Amino acid sequence: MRLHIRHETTYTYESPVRNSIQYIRLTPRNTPQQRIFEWHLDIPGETSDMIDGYGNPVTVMTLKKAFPSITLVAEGIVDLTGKPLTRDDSPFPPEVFLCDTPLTEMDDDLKAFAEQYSPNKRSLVRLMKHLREHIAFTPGVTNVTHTAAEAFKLGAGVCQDHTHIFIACCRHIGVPARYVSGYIHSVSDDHVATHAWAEVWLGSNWQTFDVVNTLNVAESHLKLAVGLDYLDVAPVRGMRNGGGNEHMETRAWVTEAAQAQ
Amino acid sequence: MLIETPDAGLFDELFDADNRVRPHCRMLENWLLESDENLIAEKRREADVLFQRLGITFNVYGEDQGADRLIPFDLIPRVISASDWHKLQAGLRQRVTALNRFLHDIYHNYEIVKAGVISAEQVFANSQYQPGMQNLKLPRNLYSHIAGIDLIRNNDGDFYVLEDNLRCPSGVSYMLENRRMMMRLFPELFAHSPVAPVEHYPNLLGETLRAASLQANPTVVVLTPGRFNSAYFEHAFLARQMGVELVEGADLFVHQNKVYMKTTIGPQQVDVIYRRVDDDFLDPLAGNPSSMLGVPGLYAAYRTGNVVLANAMGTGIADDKSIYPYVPDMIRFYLGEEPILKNVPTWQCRKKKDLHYVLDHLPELVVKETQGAGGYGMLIGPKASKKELETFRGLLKAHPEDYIAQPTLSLSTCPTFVDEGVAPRHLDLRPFVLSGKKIQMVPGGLTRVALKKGSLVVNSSQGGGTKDTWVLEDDLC
Repeated sequence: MRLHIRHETTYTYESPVRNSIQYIRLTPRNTPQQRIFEWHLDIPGETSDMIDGYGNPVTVMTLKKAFPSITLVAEGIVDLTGKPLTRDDSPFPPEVFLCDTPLTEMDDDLKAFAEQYSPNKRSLVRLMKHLREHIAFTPGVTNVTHTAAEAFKLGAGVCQDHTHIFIACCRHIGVPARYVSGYIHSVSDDHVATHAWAEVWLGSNWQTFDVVNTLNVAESHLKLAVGLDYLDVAPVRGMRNGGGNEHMETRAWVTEAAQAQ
Repeated sequence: MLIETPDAGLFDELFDADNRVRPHCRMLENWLLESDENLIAEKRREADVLFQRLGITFNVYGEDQGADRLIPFDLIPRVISASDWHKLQAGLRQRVTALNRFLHDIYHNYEIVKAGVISAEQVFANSQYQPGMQNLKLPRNLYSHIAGIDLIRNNDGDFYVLEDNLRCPSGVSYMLENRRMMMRLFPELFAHSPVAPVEHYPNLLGETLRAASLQANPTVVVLTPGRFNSAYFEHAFLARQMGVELVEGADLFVHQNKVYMKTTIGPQQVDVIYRRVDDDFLDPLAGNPSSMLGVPGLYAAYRTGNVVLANAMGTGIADDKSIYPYVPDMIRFYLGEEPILKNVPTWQCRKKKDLHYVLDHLPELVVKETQGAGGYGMLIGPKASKKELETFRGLLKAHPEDYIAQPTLSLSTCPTFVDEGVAPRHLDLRPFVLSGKKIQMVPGGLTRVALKKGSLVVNSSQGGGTKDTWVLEDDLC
């Protein structure tokens, strides 16, 4: 499947921003699962690149002049091959993804919930389904600082929360699980195109668990970054001087592109 | 003045098992016997005033913020013979070399894990492992440029490594000031004894930090969390002694993956940061997002090789108490040598068999948290109340992987001024090992002493004091 992606993020500030620096993770890697034909970031300010410890490409942007608003655009054309994940594509052993972080913190209730499941695929699929039933997809009730335990208690959240809760449960029962950010293509237009899901290590390869869509395959998923939690993969992490309150608006279009064969 | 003799069964630094003065300490004994109590009392007061004036104070955790107080300084030096130091030095070089090799290995090809010496889970599922360091090439493959190795001498007379401090080991300013104080108060003592100098430590540190960069003439700064940090005095002291800038996060900025210091004549690029800020606070865009102590963008500059951090990020994985039991194996694995310095036998409560033993022998053992530091969260079995033992029994059963246990070692003693006169008190030793083009250290280190009778806790945060540490240049005196 060939996809065309356009993703715009605009930050508007109360007063102009001076000196801002951002880590931007909006560039997909070329892998056997996703062939990148074209990719382009349209970003104000000066940029430089780095690869983080997980192997994610990061664009570092610095702005020195005063800006009333900033718009970041990522756009490109990608082929999703539908190939399963390779044996291991991390620069370190999967055990790294057993470690808790502040965002995957559990409480006793969540631990008790996780302990009903076993470290095998069938059981984890049940875990994913139960979580999806238990946690209503409700935008606006959580934000990026909510922990797995907090979202579980609320019984509501967005893909970020579903993913944090799922990977926290996996890690708790000894299964390495990583957080993935990216885009998803869906036939209906009303769905959010920016997305988060989990990948789980089941002894010999990584497997996709998209909790929100209760999917076990990644045919329509374009991966941007992997990490221990949202903070490791956040599309934009920045600091700025001035600006006052900020308003962030993000829109993404993922559509099937005509395939010239 | 009278010197109380040590308890039988303990190793004393001054007296041997038959209460005869060790030959290399004779000069010290003569001085103590000849010294008048009133004169010594006066010198002790003088030392207090001088330390206060110098501003060498210490903020005790758990007390009010900003409640600075003096770390008690004991006038009686701890003496190490030339032959003991010779062996210690070789052992420290060997150990720190292996620890740096281990850090380079696990952040690259992790051969030691592949060889089955240590399990992947113990290294990589450890919260001290920093994924952000993976495959980052560092100059000279050095991670812990400054290491503080805590040693104790057991009643068998041998030195044992209690723990390795590879993150931001502190205390070296006390080592330097203690020596200055002794030379000022008792110059005559130094005239008659071959005490090896330590004053050149800041020179060696500066040399080490410059060698951490491959730049020809690198700009070095000391990064401090600020004046509310308990070791702020030391940060300022070392920066001044080395003649480099002391900066806080807000004094630095990152542009195009390079780090700059704001100066009155414009931005100046920084090549090496001797940072005394913890990993998670170095860059709010990579670690703790609420950190005000770091520099936004610093991680990118580090990751792209444009700045060196001393010590590196992620060194905590090598000094974690759960990794400690493997250091002798690291020495064998990387260097093909037998360890010169002994490790304390350690039970890893994560292992069922070890946990069983620990629960059965709790009153004899010392139990430590794998992530703990500063002597907090620790059980000393023989000194613990029934209630404390029960509390730890519960903790061990609930979270065995968070604890290790060791036999209660009898730390050696050394005569120390106390209210009752001169009496033996337990002590340890922290030498500072510098890794640059080569491994260097000044003879000795920081000696910490537990001032409470019988106490084995030497941490300054829990009422410990310090002593000047004398390494003799030769033992023929």
